[in-house]
Amino acid sequence: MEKALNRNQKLILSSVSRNLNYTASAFLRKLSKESGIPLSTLKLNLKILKEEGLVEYGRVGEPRPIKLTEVGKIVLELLDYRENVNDIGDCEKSVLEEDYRELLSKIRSKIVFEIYQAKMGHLPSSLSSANIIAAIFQVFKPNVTESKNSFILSKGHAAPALYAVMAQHGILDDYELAFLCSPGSRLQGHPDKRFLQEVIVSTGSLGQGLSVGVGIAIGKKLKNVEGKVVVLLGDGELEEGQIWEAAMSASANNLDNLIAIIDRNFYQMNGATEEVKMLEPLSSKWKSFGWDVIEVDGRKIDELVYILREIEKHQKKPTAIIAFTERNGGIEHIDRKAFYYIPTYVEYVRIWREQIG
Amino acid sequence: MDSVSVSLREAFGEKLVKIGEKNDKVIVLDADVGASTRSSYFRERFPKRFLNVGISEQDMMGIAAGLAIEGFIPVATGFAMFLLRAWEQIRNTISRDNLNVKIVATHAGLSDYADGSSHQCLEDIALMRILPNMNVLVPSDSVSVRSLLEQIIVLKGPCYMRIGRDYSPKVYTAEEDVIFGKPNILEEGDDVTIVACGIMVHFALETRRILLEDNIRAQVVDLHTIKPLNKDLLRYCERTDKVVTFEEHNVLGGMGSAVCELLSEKGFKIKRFGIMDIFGESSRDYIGLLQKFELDENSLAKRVKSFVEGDSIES
Repeated sequence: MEKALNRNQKLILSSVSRNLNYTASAFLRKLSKESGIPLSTLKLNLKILKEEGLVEYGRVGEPRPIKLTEVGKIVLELLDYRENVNDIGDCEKSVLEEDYRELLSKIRSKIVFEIYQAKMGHLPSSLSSANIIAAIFQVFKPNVTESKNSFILSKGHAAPALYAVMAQHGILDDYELAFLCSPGSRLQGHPDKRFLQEVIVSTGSLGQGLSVGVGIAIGKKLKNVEGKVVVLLGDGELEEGQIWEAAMSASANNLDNLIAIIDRNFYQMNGATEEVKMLEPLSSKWKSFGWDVIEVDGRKIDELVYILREIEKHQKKPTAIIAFTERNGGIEHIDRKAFYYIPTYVEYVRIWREQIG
Repeated sequence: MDSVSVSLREAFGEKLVKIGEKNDKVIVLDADVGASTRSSYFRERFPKRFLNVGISEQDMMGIAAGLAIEGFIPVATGFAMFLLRAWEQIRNTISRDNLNVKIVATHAGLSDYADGSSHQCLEDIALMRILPNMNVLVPSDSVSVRSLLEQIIVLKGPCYMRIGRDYSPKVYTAEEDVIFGKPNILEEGDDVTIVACGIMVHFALETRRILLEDNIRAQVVDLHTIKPLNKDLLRYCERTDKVVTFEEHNVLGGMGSAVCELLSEKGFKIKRFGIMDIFGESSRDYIGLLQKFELDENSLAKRVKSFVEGDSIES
């Protein structure tokens, strides 16, 4: 199933919201006249929108005014954002934190929207990674054809955050965010390259992304090409032994083009990281493996962006950024101890309103 | 003995260098067993394109995946047994993303006879052939090692090639005779078809010779490519109503099982000979170990004969 909305469908959605109390056929006639688009084309697209559950209207002999469904309203809201948001583009370091706050709000809203729609997904972990992924895309614009940089989401369960950022950058259509985990969707539960080329490597099984990052970084050096490889790791994920095999490989091969970012939210599936299997002293662990280590307040996207830009310019060794985050992304309604959390409708609306203001 | 050709790993190591001379995209990865697998020849010739990742097979498979993403043709080498500890990495990254990684596993089957059951890999064919996208090859002698290695390098997609350590009686004389994906009929016969892979192809030929003394004419097929499984095999087997399979692998899930899957709808009588769902053990010589597991030509001839004559059921 094609998950992206075409231009006509977008037009219909926004027109429905402006035209109340029309039957479907009256609405279509009016829209066709205004837009010059053939009636049959509009009719077909309206039918698709109805099948997707975005609009509702009556039947022959049982006329009801055409209107947007709840999902339709949300999708339209998302679409409007995209149209209205100025392209963030290259932000200089001097850009105010406020600007990033707005960007982050949009990304978070998208994450909540995805998970609310799907009624599944790792919400807390996605919120905790949102800032980091947003910063990575802001600085490196990775994984698209024209980019020299690569990004691997080794903690694949934060996929909703990756998709939200991708949508923010136009790699995905916002409309697709309504279809996390549904059959045929490019938005698989964990990033899957077979469905979405831009993830460059499928993940989901913890502990494996850093090795792939090492391979890509070595490959770039062999080819003598520039570009950074950024791998986002969960803190619980560091319990996998393969991470440390890869950490050794990175320093043994002097990979000054590899950056590992650790989403240090202090929680893993069944509890606090320090209770399950102590990770501290984490910074000195990485240092002792031959990495440069930088600790950063991962809640502040401007700090992350700044640090990444600095590393891009001055990296000498494989570099680990320990980004201190909160698993609920600072949204108080969401239990940071929960690894899996589906907001209720009331919560969803409340979060949505707060995030988008 | 001039019927014994170059050892399998020697053939692999030498051919790899030749391939490296022609194709600069080939990168060889080793988990610190290069001296044993003979990938060390490649290191000597192309140090910059050789990566010893250390004793860390899981990391090696991830790095191979990354190199494939960057457009290289990584050849990940190691002992068959220990590459299996990276099975999940192979499954979740290389096979799932259909990455162009060539895995060459040496010391497979019982060929690492002295080291014992920790090193004797009898499970890899099963574990590799259930992976979507994966091509699975078991060359039967050094000539087919060279031939198939050359062919899989230019094939797009993940491949698993299984070879033994040294022992390698000659089966082929010309590399052109071994074509990826095409089972080879080595001997004709009407009474029973022996489908074999790896070193067992040699034993199939020897078994045929012994069976001839009892007037049993066996057709011998070398099934060096287990996946994709060529459906022509069905046609070949139809020449005899009885089929046996020889493999240096657990009889569960291996080449014999693959053959059974193909033939199952046609009412063949099939028997699989291999390792009967047990682990290996140490031996001071390879042939002695094969004898112990009744996989030498004399034991096999006896077992096939009783199957063909249909007068006994093996325990």
